[in-house]
Amino acid sequence: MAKFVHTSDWHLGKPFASMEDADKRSRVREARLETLRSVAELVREEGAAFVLVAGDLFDSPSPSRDVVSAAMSAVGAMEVPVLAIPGNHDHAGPGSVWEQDFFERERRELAPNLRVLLEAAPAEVGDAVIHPAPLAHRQLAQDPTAWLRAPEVFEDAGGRVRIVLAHGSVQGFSSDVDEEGLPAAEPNRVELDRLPPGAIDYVALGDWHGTKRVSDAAWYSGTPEPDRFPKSEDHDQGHVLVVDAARAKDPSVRPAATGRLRWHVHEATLGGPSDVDHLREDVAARLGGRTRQDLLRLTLDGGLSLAARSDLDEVLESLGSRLLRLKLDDRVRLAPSREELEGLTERGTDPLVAKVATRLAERIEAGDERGPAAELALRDLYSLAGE
Amino acid sequence: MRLRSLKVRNYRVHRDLEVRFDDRLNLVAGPNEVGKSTVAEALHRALFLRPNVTGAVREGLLTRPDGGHPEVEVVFAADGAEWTLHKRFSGGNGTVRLSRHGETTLSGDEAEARLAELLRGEDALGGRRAGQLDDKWAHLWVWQGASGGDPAGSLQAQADQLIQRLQSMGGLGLYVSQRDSEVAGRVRARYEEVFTKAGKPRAGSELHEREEAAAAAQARLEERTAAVRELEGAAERYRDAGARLEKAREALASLEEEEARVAERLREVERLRREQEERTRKLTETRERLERLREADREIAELVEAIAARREDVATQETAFEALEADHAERLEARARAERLREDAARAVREARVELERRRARLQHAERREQLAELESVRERVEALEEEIDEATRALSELPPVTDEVLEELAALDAERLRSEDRLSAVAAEIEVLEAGLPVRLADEPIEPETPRTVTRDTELRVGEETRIRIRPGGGETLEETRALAEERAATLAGRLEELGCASLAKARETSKERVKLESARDGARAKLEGLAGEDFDARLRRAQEQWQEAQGALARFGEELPGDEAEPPAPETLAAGVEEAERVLAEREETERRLEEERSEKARAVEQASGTLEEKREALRSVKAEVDRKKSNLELLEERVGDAERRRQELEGLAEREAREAEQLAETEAALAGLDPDQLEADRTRLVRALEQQRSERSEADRERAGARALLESGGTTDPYADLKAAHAALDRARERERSARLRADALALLHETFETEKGALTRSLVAPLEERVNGYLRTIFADGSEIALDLEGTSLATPSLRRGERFAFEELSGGAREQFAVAVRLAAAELLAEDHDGALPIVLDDAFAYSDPERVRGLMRALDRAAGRGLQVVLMTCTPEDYASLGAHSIHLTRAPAG
Repeated sequence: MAKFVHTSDWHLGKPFASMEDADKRSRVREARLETLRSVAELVREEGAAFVLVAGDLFDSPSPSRDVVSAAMSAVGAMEVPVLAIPGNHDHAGPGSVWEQDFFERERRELAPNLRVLLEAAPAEVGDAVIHPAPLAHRQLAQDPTAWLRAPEVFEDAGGRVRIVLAHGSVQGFSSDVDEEGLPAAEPNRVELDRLPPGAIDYVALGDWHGTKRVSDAAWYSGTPEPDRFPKSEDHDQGHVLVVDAARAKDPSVRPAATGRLRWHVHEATLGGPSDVDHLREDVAARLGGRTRQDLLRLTLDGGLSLAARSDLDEVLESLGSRLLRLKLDDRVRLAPSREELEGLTERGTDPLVAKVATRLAERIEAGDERGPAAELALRDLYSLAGE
Repeated sequence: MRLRSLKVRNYRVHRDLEVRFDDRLNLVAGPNEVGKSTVAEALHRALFLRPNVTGAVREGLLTRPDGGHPEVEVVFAADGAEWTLHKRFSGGNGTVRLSRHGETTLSGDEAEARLAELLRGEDALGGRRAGQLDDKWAHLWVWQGASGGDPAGSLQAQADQLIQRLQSMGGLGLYVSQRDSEVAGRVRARYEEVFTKAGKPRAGSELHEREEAAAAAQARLEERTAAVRELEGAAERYRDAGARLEKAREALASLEEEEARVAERLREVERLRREQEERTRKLTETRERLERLREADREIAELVEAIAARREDVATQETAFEALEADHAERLEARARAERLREDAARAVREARVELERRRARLQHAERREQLAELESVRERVEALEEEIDEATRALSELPPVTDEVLEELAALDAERLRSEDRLSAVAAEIEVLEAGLPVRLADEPIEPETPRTVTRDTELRVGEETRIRIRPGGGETLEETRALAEERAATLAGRLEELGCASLAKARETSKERVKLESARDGARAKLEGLAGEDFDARLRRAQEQWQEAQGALARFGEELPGDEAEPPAPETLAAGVEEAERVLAEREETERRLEEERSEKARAVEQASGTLEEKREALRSVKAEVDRKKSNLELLEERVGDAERRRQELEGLAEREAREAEQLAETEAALAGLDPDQLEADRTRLVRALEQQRSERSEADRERAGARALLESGGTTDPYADLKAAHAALDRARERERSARLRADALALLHETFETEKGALTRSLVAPLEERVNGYLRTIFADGSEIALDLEGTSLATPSLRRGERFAFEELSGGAREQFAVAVRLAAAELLAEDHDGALPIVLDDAFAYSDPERVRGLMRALDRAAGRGLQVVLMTCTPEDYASLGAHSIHLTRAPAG
């Protein structure tokens, strides 16, 4: 019997570089460490014997020293043994963090409970034997669990709980393109089907950021703190798994929520002032009264009159201020209302303004390459002439 | 509105003046200071100056010395009626009256208000505003000296009316509102904040800054990418170098082992080589000794044999030598005999030669004597011929020199004489009396009938006593000349004959014949002489004599007796046969001598040959004997050195045995050496040394490389290069997005600005087009060069116009003349447009407005004024040179100087 916490993909040191505001960026980075403190509490509460980290503890093979120190501090706080393997982001190899003297020093001082499994060799912890599949490169040509295909490998484990610790994709799942827009690593393929049946009691997987059950005895824990906008509804980030496993029995696996920050996705098509009001209401419902705790990817399209556009701009201004991040894909076309357009083009008192407005409207209508510039020009003219 | 008349009293120079105006064209003419400008001013003041004006303005109107209050009365047509306007500028209580025919007269403010209405809102000025008086209808009143001013300025006050008028002509929307201008101005200002004049983003503008930020972000990303690549490269190098190092270590271990094996075998080779050298040396020594001994043995045998052979040889050669000596003596004898015979033959030859010479001398002597005798006989005949020549020469010298030429000359002279006489007789007249009643006398000589007489000169013929007739034969004087010529020629001939010494011509002919005969005889003798002797006859004779002497001497030398002169000499033929006989004898004897000489020399050669052979043989014999001696001594020496035959045999056997033994030992050593293959061993060692060196340098290089990569990997740590790279990517994306949005905003601004400029330009052009069209109508009458106006609006008023003459000229760039001409065209056009609001008519007053214009342009201006009059304008032109405007056909108003005081 072994009770342990399965987690992965901490991605400590992730820069969140696409966020411009340094303060908010550091807030998002800090949240990942805070979440680890919650995980430590959970470990205590649950009485877990050890913690397994299935890769990507760091976001990079060469995290900066402050990240290394903070990570060791967080691991140290968990008190029970913590066993980790390098993943594709923090793969092992010459020059990697795992081989740095500094890392080793900080590990000894802050996290003596941490064991990094760099070799493909069984490691004992309590009543369990861990069979790690560490990654020595960002991309591996062969399955890192290939060494586990021979049943003899498990003979030494005897009656103890046999756990495989691996990082990579299985059939149907891969971490895909990551949040930073960098091309995803070619998935390190883990072929669970080829492992000897019955020899393994639990497979602790990492790489996929949502919590995912692959089979009764094979799970992706997902990242304990979301780090990207969810790709789909079932992309459920922000959990660790509390696992009870025993030799030759199906394990009990229970996700526990740990996430702090909320990553929202919202899409809206705007056709008039009322749509802008609806948007305002929808977003308010999602955020409640919170500030600095939410991130939103907002995709807008449709067309708005000049006045409604101004309203929208106000909404967006508020959101930008309240959210940690507003990732905006604004495809709303300017569609001046009949009254707005006529107010300019048929302005008898100011014939020059009318003429200019007519020309711009014609250009927008024609949809040529300067169309977007013409839209903006018309907006400027609208505000200049309206003053 | 049209002016009808003007009455002025006490107004500046005018005490009392009345002027009537034509509806179309008026010329106010007069000398300077006569008050033309005052007329223009009085008209203007009547319309626009309040009568109660005081102060300086009023002072300016007064006559000098003060002669009462100025009064002006203008009659004009407006709004379909005639109006009389009267103003009295009497200070604070000045009055105005405006009356319409048949209606009540208005006065005071009422009159001013009505007047302003008639003038379309132009109220009269007074008080403080009187200073702006000249601005009133400034486009219609061209004050003296102001004609070259900016016409747009003069239209300032009428701009609104003019624009309104133009708009009403162009239709709705042809104007730019205040707001229009403001908006366009703000767009322009914003545009200029963002863009330079060249259309490039201005430094410091948002777009420019964002462009630079994007470029900087790009550079930063490249830097970051390079850093990560360097790191990844270092990791790879570290791995590669480790692998290389391992390989090099393995290779070195196996190479070193192999090298030790090869070195051991090479040491064995070295030892065997030394042994081989020693054994070879010993064998060679033994072989040399054996060879030397065998050689000596062989030499001794040869010497013994050679000495025996040579001794036989010497005996044979001695016998042969004796036989040769006997033969030699015989040959010497034969040679002596041959020499004697040859000497005899030589003597016989000498004798025959002397005989031949003698006979030849004799023959020559005889020939020479004969030759000399022949030449002597020729000499006698030569002397006879010379005498004959001398004789003929002498006879010729005694005759007169009548040559053929002389004779011809004489014959010619005689012929001329005969011709003269013939002509004389031809010209003579013959007179014959056939019958005579009275006595007839010729030259006082009576002539009888039938007795003809010849007359050759002037002769008087007398018949009777009373009749005298002159006969002049041959035409007068000619006869006399003929006769004189005949006589002269006769005298010439006679003189020439006398000169020659001939009595007559016949005699001369005779003499000539005789001379010819003599000359012929002489020439014949000469020719004979020439043929006989020739030129060198004397020399030949002398030589013959000398040769004769020589021949005699030669004969004497041979001891012959000289034959006497008289003795009959022997015939040369006989003598020649003797010579031939002697020659034959000589030849025979010479042949004999030659043959004997040959024999002798043959014998001599035989002797020589024998002597040579003998000497050779003697030498050969001597040398053979010497050789035998030498060999004997060699043999003795050899035997002394190597011992006798028995000793030699024993030693040879011992040495041969030793040689065989030593050769066997050497072969053993060489076989051992070959078994080791030393060449291959050497090559192996070279190869191994090279390979070791290579692997060691590979090892240290890999070591160095790994250490370098390691150092690079372990440096840093304060920042995460991968995180930095992500940050740089994100920063670039942001910067690009910001740049894009700034570019879009700038582009929108540029588009807005462009559209404003384009539309404003189009609007302005449409608006001013009717005005431009009218101005151009006037310009065409003034300028013949196709000049056109270019007008723009500044806000809501006209900008100073430019003139287009191919290119565009600003108003200020034009000459003074062109300025005033251009300005009047603009005024006329504007007035024409404005006249629409004044019943289609307006006056335009031009005070000396064309001071700078040349006569050509003045003609153009008159056409323009006429055109304006035709279009409703009433022209009032002030000038001091009315004759310039004679062809204008204007109504003339002549002002004369008012009497002084």
